[in-house]
Amino acid sequence: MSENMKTLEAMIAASKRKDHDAFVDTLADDFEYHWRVGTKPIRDKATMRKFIRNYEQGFDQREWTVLNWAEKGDTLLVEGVEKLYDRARDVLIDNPFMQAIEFREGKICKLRDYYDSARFPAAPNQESAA
Amino acid sequence: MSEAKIDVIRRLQQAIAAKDKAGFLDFFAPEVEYHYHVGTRPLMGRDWVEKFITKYWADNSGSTWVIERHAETDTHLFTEGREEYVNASGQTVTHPYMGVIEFKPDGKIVSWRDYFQMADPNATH
Repeated sequence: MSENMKTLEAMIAASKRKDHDAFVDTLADDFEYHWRVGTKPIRDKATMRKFIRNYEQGFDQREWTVLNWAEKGDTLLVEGVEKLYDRARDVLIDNPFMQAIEFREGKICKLRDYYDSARFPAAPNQESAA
Repeated sequence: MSEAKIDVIRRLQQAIAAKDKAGFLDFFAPEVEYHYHVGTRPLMGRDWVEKFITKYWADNSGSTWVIERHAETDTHLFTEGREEYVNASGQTVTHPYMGVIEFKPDGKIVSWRDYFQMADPNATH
């Protein structure tokens, strides 16, 4: 397993433990996160912490599974699925997704999520989460 | 040495640009499962793909498929990019996307899944 894949696995493990410090430790200081490609990204760790806290008020991520992936240089392209409990609607959602993850010196410096947010009609106001 | 999967898809893009339907369909295995949008019912089989692409080419014009990043394994090609087209209402639409394409040992595409926001980004932003 590559070092970059190990970093991603550390991020996933931290997410499952709700360990925000360990999660953020996998990120570069100038981390850029496109939680919905096409909207304004998150550009720093402090904002990322706030985003995670707000997100967890709306959703409980029960599973995060990587199904397929490939690497080229310091970019990892991933297909996976997460299982989310939507607290507002009291439903469990399967969210298939892909991610483009760019690394620098073992840290994640750019992350772009691709999925269809139409699955989340009752999502909290993520536009203001950051 | 077998052809790189990204080069196969570059040739498929040329077939799309030329609106070469027979050439396009020849890239697919008869049993292909094509999720043109993950979350929507997939197209099952090459015949269904043909019906889809016939309608898609009739309804959309000026289509441009740009692959910005890619990586591959022995069986899969992963891409990140965007598709731009003019819809039936004359509006230019841009869809950022990621996709994963699985190939059989004979080189034919057996599954394809594209992930993106189905809602017209130009209408929501």
